[in-house]
Order: sequence, then structure tokens, then C-alpha cells
Amino acid sequence: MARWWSIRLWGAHLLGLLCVSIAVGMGAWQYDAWQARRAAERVDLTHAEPVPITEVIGPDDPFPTAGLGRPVDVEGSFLPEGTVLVSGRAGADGQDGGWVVTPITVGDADAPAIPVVRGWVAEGTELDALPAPPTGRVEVRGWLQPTEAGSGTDEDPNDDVLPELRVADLVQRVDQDLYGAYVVAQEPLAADASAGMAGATLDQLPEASRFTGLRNLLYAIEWWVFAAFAAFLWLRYVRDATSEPVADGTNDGADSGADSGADSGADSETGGEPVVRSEP
Amino acid sequence: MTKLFNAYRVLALVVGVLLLVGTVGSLLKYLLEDGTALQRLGDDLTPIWLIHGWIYIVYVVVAFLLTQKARWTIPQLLLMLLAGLVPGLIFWVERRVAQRLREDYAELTG
Repeated sequence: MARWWSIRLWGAHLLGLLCVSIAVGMGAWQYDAWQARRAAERVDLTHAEPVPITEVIGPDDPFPTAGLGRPVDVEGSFLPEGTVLVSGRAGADGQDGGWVVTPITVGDADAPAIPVVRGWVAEGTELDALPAPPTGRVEVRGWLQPTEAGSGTDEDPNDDVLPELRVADLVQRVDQDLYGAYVVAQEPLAADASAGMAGATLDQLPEASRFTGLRNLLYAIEWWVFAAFAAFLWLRYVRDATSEPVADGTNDGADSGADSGADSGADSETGGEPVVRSEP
Repeated sequence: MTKLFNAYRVLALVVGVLLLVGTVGSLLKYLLEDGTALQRLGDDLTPIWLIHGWIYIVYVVVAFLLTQKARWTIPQLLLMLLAGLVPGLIFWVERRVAQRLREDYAELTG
């Protein structure tokens, strides 16, 4: 009969420990991601002191948790091409409309660029009717936002209207490298304002992005269910391997107890393991 | 046991298909250039993993009950569980399980 510390069970212990710790770890990781997201959503940075964008995020950085809604200053030049309209942004009085977005370089004219929401226009406004972005060096102050990642589908990929502000979509339209974030300008540019563009605000953001946070929590629970199951299997295996063979005539006492849990189905038709009875 | 086995077969099929779709989606998402139509499709397919995970939990429970009832070994169970995580493997394992069940319990599977 094997004891739980028998060498023959070390493999099972190792495997069990490995599976349980991986699953617990992955769950904790997802749970932390969920917590971090919630914490970032709770903290309102929108009234913080503006900082230069380079202090918050770099061109290839993932979106910083302390960056959501943070006011930043961007100094650079607007790209002459790459202006798009992002639809589905309700205006101040619930009116349908969209955001006018143009990427601006961060620094020199050939530096990586970050998309800027220049302002809000009512539904039906054509991009051609709006003034072109100003040329030369411009300074923009706005709230930093992560790239959107909903599941809106673009009905017409060839026009300049997008269902959401996804940086991956904008990359196609410009020669520049783009940041994985965008900036919502606090005030529309003078020329834009006189052309009837209203300032964009953060509450025009669609609510859909909340699902991504919840997803992390669901993954975390999934992992912990697996951890519990792995622990259950491990304990059960060890218990079967260390328990006395059941005296039912078919097991000989010389047989090692380690085999009792590992009987192949073929030879233990009358084995003593408790079996849940059900339909014939 | 027939009910359990049928549940297992259905779950194996669903898990197998979700796993394949999820894998293809993730390959598209990470291997293709950002923003292309196929890459976006891959990105849109990521919620598949969430669905796969939860259905896999049910699959794990059913596989466990089935191996208990058929009095199969834990390595056999581990193979069945592993099959839900390696793309394509589950289709072969499912056939093997069916075959083994027929051998062990000829009277049950009609």
C-alpha cells in the first residue's frame, strides 16, 4: 500500500501542484487586470493638471492605467490626410452626431502621431464641408483615451466614416506610426469652432467598452474553477492510490494500493469503487 | 451512461469547433498586419475564448463523470481534458472514447 509521500506519487503531486498553481496564478492575473481597470475607471483624472503627453505614454507603449482621461498637451503638426468621422456619438442634447478626428504628430512632422478628436458635428455633416486641419506647429490640450475596441462593424470600409475610434483602422490611412491612444481636444480649434463644430466631451463615449473589464473577471472565475477542479482530481487520485484495496474478492492483497485507483475499466467490472447508479 | 456519453460527444464537438475558430481568430489577430479586414475579424473573434472557457468547464465535468462511471483511469481523463485545449485533438480523442466505450460496455452503445 502506498503512502501519500511514496515516490510513485511524486509525479502526481508535481502535476497537481503545477496545474493548481498555474490556474490560481492566471486567475489572479485576470483578477488584477479587472481591479486595475475598475480602479482606473473610478479615479477621475479629468481635472488633473495637464502634462506633456510624452510624460504619460510613448508611441509603442501600452495604455497606462494612470492615463485614462488625463489632460495632456500635444505639440506638433496635424497630418494633412487621415481625417475621419467617427459616428455614433450623441451630442449635448442627445442629438445624433460624430467626432471629427485628425492625427497630430508628437513633435516633428515625421514623428509618430496620435489621433485627436477635434470636435463634434451633427449627423449628416460631410467632412468636405469642414475646414482642413491647420498647418504648421499647433498645440492641443485634451483628455487622453485608450483606443476603442468594441465590435462595431464598418459598413463601408472605403469611406471616411468609422463606427469607432480604433487606432488599428486609422493606421491604414496615414504614413505615420500611430500611438495606441487618442486625445479628445478640450476646446475645438478656432477655425473649427467658427465652422460650427462643437467641443467633444468624454460623456459622448459609448458605454460598450465596459464589457472588456467584465471579461477579465469572467476569465478569473474560469481559472479558479479549473484550479479547484485540478485540486479535486489530485486529492482524489492520491486518496484512491493510498486507500486500502476494497476487499471484494477480485483484488489480491499483494497488489499495490496505487493501482486501485488506476484500474483500467476493462478488468474491474465488479470493482468496489462506489459508482453512481443511474439509468440502465 | 448513454446519456452521459451523448452529452460528452456534443460537448466535444462544440469545444473542438470553438477551439479551432478561436485559434484561427487569434492567428489572424496577431500574425496579420493591424487593421486589415482579416486581422479585424480575428480581433472580433476574441470573445470566443470566453465562451470556450465556460463550455470547457461543463465538458470537464461531463468527462469526469463519464470516466468515473466507465471506471477509466485518471490518465485517460487527463487525455480527454487535454483534448479540449489542443486544437484538433478532441476529434480524434472523441472517436477513441467512443471506441473504448463500445469495447468495454458493448451492451450500452447501440
